Amino acid sequence: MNSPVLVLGGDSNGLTAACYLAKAGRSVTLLTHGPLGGLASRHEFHPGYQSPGVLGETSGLRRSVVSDLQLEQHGLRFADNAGVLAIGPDSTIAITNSRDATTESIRGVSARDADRYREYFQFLDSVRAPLTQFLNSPPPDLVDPSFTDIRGLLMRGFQLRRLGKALMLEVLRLAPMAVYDWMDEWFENDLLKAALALPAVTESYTAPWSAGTNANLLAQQVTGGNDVVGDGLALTDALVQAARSLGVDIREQTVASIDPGRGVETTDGESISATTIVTSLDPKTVFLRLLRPELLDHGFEQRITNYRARGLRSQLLLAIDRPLKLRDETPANRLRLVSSLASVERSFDPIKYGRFSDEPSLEVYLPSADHPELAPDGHAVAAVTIHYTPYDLAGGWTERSREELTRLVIQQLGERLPDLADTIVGHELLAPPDIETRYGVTGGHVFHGEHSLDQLLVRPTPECCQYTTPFPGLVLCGGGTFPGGGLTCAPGALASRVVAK
Amino acid sequence: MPIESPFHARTSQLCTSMRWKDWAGYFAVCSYEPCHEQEYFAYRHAAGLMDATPLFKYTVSGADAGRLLSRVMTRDITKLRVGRVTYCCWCDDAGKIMDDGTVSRLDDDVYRVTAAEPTLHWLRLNARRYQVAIEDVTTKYGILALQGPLSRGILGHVCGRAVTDLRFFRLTQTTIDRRPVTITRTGYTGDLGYEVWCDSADALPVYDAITEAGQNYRLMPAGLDALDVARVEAGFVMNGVDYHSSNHCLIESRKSTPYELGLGWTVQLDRDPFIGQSKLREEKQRGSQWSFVGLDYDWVAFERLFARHDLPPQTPHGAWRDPLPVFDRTGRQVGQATSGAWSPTLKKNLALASVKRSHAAEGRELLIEATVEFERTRTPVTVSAPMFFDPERKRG
Repeated sequence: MNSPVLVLGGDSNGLTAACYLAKAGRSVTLLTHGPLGGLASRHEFHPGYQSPGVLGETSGLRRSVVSDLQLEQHGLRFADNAGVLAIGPDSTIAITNSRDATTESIRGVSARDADRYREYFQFLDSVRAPLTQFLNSPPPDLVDPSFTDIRGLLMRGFQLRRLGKALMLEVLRLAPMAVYDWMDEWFENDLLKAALALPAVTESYTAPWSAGTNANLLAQQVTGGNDVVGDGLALTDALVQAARSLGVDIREQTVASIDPGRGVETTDGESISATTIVTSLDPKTVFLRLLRPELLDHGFEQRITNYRARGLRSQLLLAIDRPLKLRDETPANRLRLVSSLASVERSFDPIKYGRFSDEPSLEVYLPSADHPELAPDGHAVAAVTIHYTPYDLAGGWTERSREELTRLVIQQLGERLPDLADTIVGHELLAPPDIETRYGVTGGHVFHGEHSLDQLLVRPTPECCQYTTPFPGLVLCGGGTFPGGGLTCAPGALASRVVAK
Repeated sequence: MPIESPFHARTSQLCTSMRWKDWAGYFAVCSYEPCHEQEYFAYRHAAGLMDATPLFKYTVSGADAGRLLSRVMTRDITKLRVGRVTYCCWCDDAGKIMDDGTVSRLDDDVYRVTAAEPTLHWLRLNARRYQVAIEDVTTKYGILALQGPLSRGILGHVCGRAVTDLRFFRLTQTTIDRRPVTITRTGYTGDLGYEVWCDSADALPVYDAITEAGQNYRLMPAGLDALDVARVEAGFVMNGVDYHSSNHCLIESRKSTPYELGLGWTVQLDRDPFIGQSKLREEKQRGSQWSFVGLDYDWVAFERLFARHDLPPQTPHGAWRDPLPVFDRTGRQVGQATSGAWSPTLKKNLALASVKRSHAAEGRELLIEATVEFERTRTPVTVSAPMFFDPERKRG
């Protein structure tokens, strides 16, 4: 089968799927709602200052995609020594790709933890092979397994068993655990524990004490590698170049409706015929907004409705009149402003009642070193990610609540980054509803659905967990499918195999 | 504890038998007299007035009301014209029936739904993306079912030509004693008949006006026992008796599809997708496993069963609804009779049954279980169409 393919969605997964399909000889047209890159794309938030996007972290990018699509020939480079600087109330730790450097940095706060950090990575190395194999293969259909699914499951079980009984049981013990407990088993320093575990809990309506969060941490740690120089924007640029060189026809058009097996209507009134449609839009947008309700079985509609995508992340974009000075020896361009896992848990608690915390957990991304074009000469941009802020804030996201959150965040930033406050010349706050509107992701959820245990393996629903949908000719390839959201390109690559079949 | 219908002040005075039951949470009269027979004959020869208020009632309105109902119902409700009523059923994703009822189109964007079971949640679950308002109006309205060959005359007396000209499965909005009412030419007796909807606050004046006009027509208040006999004669299925709503069934084999219940005529497959469509289409192509049929007892053989014990033949006092197994001539079970009654009009012992399609041909002889003097035995029945009684006046 060699029919043309229409790809909907210009984010990293849409671009990846488009590239793979074009490479396989298909004629590919890609429609993108806004600028290419989706959540990793630029927009001007203050005159002369541009945002680097909501997603920037690229350590989960699959190396297989980079080599398959020859992204390094399209300008992609990996940073040898990049990472995160954890800034606590009275200490800092630089967690970079260099284990030796990181160990030394940890030694500054705890000699015991420095040694444990080596052992921690030795453990991760010992279980890495079967877990990455699992996360880089199409997911099994657990609800209605075919022979291939059962064989795949047995193979995965066999690979896990090859670790030896003790390690296998340890992996099985770890996945359903709360990160708090596992981090506690390894380390004593609060800042280190919080800095390592924060990314595993923030997008899933979970906090360090939530069961199952350890599965996320394991997945992130075993698939994590070096960051891309220039982060998400650079990845987008490389994917766009690769797509263009493979002949993908890229058009900036917004889809108004999908008629599976036939084509799409765009908001500018054009009808585009396509028997095969591959989309990286989030599942709720695809099924609950772009498909007519009559097309959905009641049960399927119910399951998609129940699929949880409650955005928790806000972003405060800061235009600053000079680059932020960090410790000279730190190569990190990401900062985690946390104190302990307990403080992260406390910043989570109020969202259950529709409020945000007085002390949110913050991450700061400083893109200007790699992307000077984002700000005028000598100036810079800082993108502050605020965890946790509820999509459906009690009383709504009013001008007042936005101002209150902005004030809180700037005040908190000032405590850990005293040089920053005086440099701010402009800002924009993107609350979850703004992220939803700007980037077209339901609930403003940047991973296209929460990464909770029940939504990781069977993602988004049993009908669609292997990228195909109940509608022939409609295939999902975004973060709302296995193995989940983020700039990994894995769903796009895995889904393109389904189409290629 | 059940609640009173808005007609209770009248019906409770008339119900000298004190025979009540709980129908969908309301007090409902089984029979006003100790025996339902007079009420049955009122339905068939004059007119019976029954309080049908306990039916679940919903108003669905808004720009997408027709679209929503077409998605839920087996019929294309968008094609239903204003002023018309249709009978239909609704299914789950697997095409298994959940309930049956009527849909009336009162205005361009206003529909009314009746159901045997609570259906608000199901309508709302399927309405998330539609511009509709769904209101449970069960207690807001009272319904009187005026059924029987003289019902037209009675309503004509109180409402005039608006009703006498009303055709089968049409509705009209008029007044009775200056109170607004909606009258539909529908019913559950298989005879000429009407259902009158009024505001609960207007229930008693409306009841009084109809009963007063009915005095010259031998109108009788009638209860559920008489209705049950009439509906068996008419071959109408009943939820909870002849089939079970799929969301109550613990096992698949207990569920039914519209085709299996003889309701295939309410299923419109070739239209926009609706819930259960793909499974119903498959079933239509494949053929159903079960058929809904009428069974007519061989009277001579039935009499002989009793004669063996020196007894005269005994037919059930009213309609029965305890299922009985049905067998083929070799003794293999091929189905079950789900309800039945002695028909005083047709002078026949009748049953409604689900039997395997291979045994559903009209005229086929089967055996049904019968217990006489504590002895369980089998007696012959002949398969027929379930609609035993279908007078011209019903539609005319």
